[in-house]
Amino acid sequence: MLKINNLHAEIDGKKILKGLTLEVKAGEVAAIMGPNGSGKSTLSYIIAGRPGYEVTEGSITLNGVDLLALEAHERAAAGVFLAFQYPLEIPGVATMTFLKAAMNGQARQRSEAELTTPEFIKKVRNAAKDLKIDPEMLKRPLNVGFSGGEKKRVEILQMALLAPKFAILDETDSGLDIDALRIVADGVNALRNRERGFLVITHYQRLLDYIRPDSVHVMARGEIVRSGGPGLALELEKSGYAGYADEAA
Amino acid sequence: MNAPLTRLQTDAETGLERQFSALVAPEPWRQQAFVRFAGQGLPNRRVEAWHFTDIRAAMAQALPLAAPAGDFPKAKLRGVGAEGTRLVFVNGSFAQAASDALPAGVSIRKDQNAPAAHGDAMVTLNHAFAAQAWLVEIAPGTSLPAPLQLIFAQSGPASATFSRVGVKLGAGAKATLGESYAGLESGHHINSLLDIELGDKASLVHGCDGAGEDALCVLSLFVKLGEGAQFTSFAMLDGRAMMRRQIFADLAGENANIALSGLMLGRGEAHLDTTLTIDHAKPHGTSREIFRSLLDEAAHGVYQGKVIVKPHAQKTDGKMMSKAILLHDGARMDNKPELEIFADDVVCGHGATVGGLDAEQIFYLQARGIARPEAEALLLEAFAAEVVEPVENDAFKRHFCDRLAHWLQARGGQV
Repeated sequence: MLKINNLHAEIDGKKILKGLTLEVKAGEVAAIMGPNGSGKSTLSYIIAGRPGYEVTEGSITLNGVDLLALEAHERAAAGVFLAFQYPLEIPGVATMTFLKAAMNGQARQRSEAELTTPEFIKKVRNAAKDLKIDPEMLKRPLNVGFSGGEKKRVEILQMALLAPKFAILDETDSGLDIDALRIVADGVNALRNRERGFLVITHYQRLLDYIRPDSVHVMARGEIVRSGGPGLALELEKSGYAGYADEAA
Repeated sequence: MNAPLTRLQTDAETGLERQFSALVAPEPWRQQAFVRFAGQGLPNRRVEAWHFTDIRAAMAQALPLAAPAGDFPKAKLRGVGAEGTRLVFVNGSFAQAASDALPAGVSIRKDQNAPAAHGDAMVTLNHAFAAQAWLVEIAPGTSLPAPLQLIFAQSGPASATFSRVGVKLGAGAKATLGESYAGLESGHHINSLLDIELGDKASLVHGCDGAGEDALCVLSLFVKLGEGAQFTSFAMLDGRAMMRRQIFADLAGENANIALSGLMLGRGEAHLDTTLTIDHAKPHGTSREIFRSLLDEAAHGVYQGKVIVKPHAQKTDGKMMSKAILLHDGARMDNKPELEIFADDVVCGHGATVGGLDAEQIFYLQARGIARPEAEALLLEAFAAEVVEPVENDAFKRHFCDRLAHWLQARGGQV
């Protein structure tokens, strides 16, 4: 599934990732934990193809496809999905319009048939219902005036509709109260299957009570410094990141 | 030592002088207008109101005056302006054969009256050269179901057209008025003057469609509002032309309400200028000016808005905002909002922004599978929708939405 090998990356000449290697298999939920400033969000952005980073060494492949050779929208069509830590507000673009543009944009790139409007509306309504999203909200401009919990639920709605091969959740728990966290986690868990891989990035162990990982990796100073099973997250909750970080907040 | 300072005439100015002296017996007031024009010369960057739009530099030659033409092929007018009752002016004169029958309550006739002198050089030039003026009158109390469409068409090779049309709404009349330009593809010079007068409690929705390729256009709009009158105007300027739209609004009655908005879509070497002056002369007036510009390639946009609140125009409520997105390193926008307030009990504000597309928003859309040109088109359409969406007349709104979609498609993105 996702293979990251010896990844080095920098932004504005500042080295952020320093030889990161990680493999996530199909059906696996891998959690990345680590102190602030360890490069967790950078890793998620680089996988998704955000401009501004320079990869100086290493590779990222998804099922053998070289992601680094693709533009962000091509990576999305290849099956990469990033649930943003801070979903962007897009004034003037109705959420439904955006969802349709995204689904059709991916379909076009994959030379698949675009959804008809009734098919599209039905799909969105069903997915929104599962995530307890009021369909009226989807007529509003994307994320504008949405609460933190609503934004995260709409991220998961997008994930459900786009049905990616591989999903990255960047600090999806930040800004969520316990009820919203449960809804979001249920949404993610409903999408788990044997083919789909997940990379769950989080600072706190709390999220992993709801989205149970298969593996846990500790990231510090731009690389994976320790890997283990779910028990590692609990251990970190007790001991903190003190042993790993030189710049922990 | 006091050598007289002689302003050097440009070729265009010399040409205009030659053309004017060749006219057969122009009315005395036209002669006076030309003398006033000759004293000023063509507007240039030293004239404050024209600082960003240097007509003197842009107009290399005075083009031959457009020959009077009585007709215009209807086929060439297809798609010009939104639907409505068409009044076609060809090379400045009313072409009845190309026009639709007028609805009840509407009349058109030649206007023999001298216009009031004005300080603007291009308006003065229009007064001097417009051989005919037309007055469209909408009788008091008339409520027109369909829009009136003024279509200014150019026929023949590159030439200069001076058109002057007045539109007068009687008290309580309600109408929708389109102003469109056709045949601007062969380097014409257009100097058009539209003079609108709204009687007490009259209401007019106005839409101006200024598309031009390779033309030099100065579109002047005068609007005078009576007590409780309401004027709403939206204008779309696009093309590769040099186009200046200038509005002089006079809120002459109490409780008058004016809302001006517009969208400038520039590409190539286009130079698009919206300059307006709102004069709040009476109390309880409301004015709104909302403008958006999308400037690509080497296009240059100009927005100048001046809101004047006279000493006794208390309780005036004015808001002005101009926002521009530059889509290319070569594009440029000059924003100059101004308030001149002489009354103490008013609410007025203005703002202006110039920026690029938000890279974070683009990435967010791309990360969902939307290719960059489509992502840009989505964001630009949303930006432009802030002025197109509120357009009151549905036919106008459809027309302008189509025009915007074409412009975005031509950039390479489709929504």
